[in-house]
Amino acid sequence: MKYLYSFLAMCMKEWIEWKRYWFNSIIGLIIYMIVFISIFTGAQYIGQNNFALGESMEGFLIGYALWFMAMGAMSDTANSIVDEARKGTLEQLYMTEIPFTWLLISKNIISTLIYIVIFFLIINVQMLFTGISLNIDAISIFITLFIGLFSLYGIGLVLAGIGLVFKKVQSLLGATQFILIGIMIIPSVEAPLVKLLPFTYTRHMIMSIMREGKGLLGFSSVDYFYLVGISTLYLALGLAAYRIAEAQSLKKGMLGQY
Amino acid sequence: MTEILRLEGLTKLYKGKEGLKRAVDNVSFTVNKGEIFGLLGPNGAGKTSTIKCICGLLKFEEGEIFIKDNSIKENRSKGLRHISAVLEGNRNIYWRMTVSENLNFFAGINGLSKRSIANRMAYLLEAFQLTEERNKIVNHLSRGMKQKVAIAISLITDKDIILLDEPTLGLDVGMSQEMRIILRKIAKEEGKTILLSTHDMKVVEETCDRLVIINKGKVVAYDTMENLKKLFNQLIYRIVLDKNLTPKARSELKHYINSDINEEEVELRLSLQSPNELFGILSLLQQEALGLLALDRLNMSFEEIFMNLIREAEGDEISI
Ligand SMILES: Nc1ncnc2c1ncn2[C@@H]1O[C@H](COP(=O)(O)OP(=O)(O)OP(=O)(O)O)[C@@H](O)[C@H]1O
Ligand SMILES: [Mg+2]
Repeated sequence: MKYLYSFLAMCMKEWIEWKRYWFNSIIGLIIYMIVFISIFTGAQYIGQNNFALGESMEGFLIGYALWFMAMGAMSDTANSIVDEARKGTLEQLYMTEIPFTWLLISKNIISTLIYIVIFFLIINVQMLFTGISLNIDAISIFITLFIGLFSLYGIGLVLAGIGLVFKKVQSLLGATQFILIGIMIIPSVEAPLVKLLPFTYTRHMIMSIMREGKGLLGFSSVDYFYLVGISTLYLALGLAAYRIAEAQSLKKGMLGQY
Repeated sequence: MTEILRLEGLTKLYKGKEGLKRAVDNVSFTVNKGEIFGLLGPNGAGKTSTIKCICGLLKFEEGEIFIKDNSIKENRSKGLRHISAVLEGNRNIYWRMTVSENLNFFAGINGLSKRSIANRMAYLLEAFQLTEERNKIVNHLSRGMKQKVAIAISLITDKDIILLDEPTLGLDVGMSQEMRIILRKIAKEEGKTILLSTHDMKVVEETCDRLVIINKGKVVAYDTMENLKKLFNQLIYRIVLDKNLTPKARSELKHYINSDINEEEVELRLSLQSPNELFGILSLLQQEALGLLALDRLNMSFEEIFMNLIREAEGDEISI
């Protein structure tokens, strides 16, 4: 019960903050759409609607939306911890009986839901605008993304840990942004090492759902093994790294200093 | 009196440029249920570090902290069940949320439902005179108001022990006074145990039952407010002579002398147990043919006693 109430409290806070600062989120979305539209019209002008480009346009549309969502989810984790440390509220979160890890997971679950909604929203607007039609199998997409995003929270936690100890997270986030772009445009997951990168397999599965019309049942157990395994792996790595940083901060008294 | 919090030889080291720094050095004290306990010390004394160790926000190198007999080292979360805290400068609240949103949020993450705290919230808003402000965004409140909100939040979860780091810092005279009244009220009406840190003598004087004075991480004094106030009522006399003390007078007055006297000085400060001791002293001065230019009684403020204790601990000569 206690865990449920703390989860609800985290939901409330996210909602309140969103309600009060929705304007920022809307501006972000508008900028996103403007960039998308300019790239799209530019590409159309060059390619004159040939078939091959139409194919890759689909990929671009999905990849770009995924990148936007992934970027948000990852930097949200890192930024919010570092931000709470700076404000001094992180210390309060550490003083509850409820373990901080639970609060963190609650927050990630909430962010996941929000970002998936945003993903659906922008995908639909993009389809409307471009006339490209994709398979919107909501359940399959939702479940794949829900699991897949946790690999990015793992990375977010590593960044948060670095932020706590070294106080430098903005520049790192900038760099990760480009790594994520890389992940979104890597063409295939055939190479074994590429599969192990965070989120590449999720992207691969989302592409299969949206472009080839695959459903959850269409994936093999190997697909699920990669999807779940990679998320678990990166989340575990992230938590471990964060734990190390947290122990350092508790020793140096830096949880409340930034 | 039941003991609720105990520190045993608490030692906190920070790694600095000049090696390890003992920010808290072998500090021991106990706090009893229902009392207001003061942690007094100048800047950098180690007050915040001590409080953070108690809250489990700072790992310490040596010693032990027991909260209701639970060792913080062995079972942090069991100890934390009884504690809430407001750390330096009311930074523990979300400035972008309203007063009641903050109260609800902190109750929630501590596992309490909105419904279960509704009455307590109303009580606290009333007690802190925040009812009218409850739907205002914290950022728009004055500093004193923010501080009140921060303390109200620490009370919403109804824990037994409240730790307050500098609760009156930066408040004006009126607000500081109001805060002291609120603190006494909480301790009395709700039976809460309050441990507060401050370098403001007035706060301890008016609110604390017992206190520990620390300086440079070390305990300098640990006693009841009453006993420390006795020090306060010490009889200190200032005597000004027309010439320097003779060697005989100096040796006989030695144990009364409360300050540094160098060869040149003709002004003495004597600390006496009873005014009757003045008879002997004055006749001695007369025998030694020393003339009296002035004699008056000095009032020592708590602040001066405090400074004295600190100087004493640092091994300097005492002077008033
Ligand atoms: N995170 C830290 N890392 C290194 N040294 C620290 C840290 N925090 C405090 N110190 C040092 O430890 C000593 C005690 O600091 P602390 O903040 O506990 O004192 P304080 O009594 O709260 O002082 P103030 O009245 O200024 O708040 C100081 O010398 C301070 O410089
Ligand atoms: Mg301090």
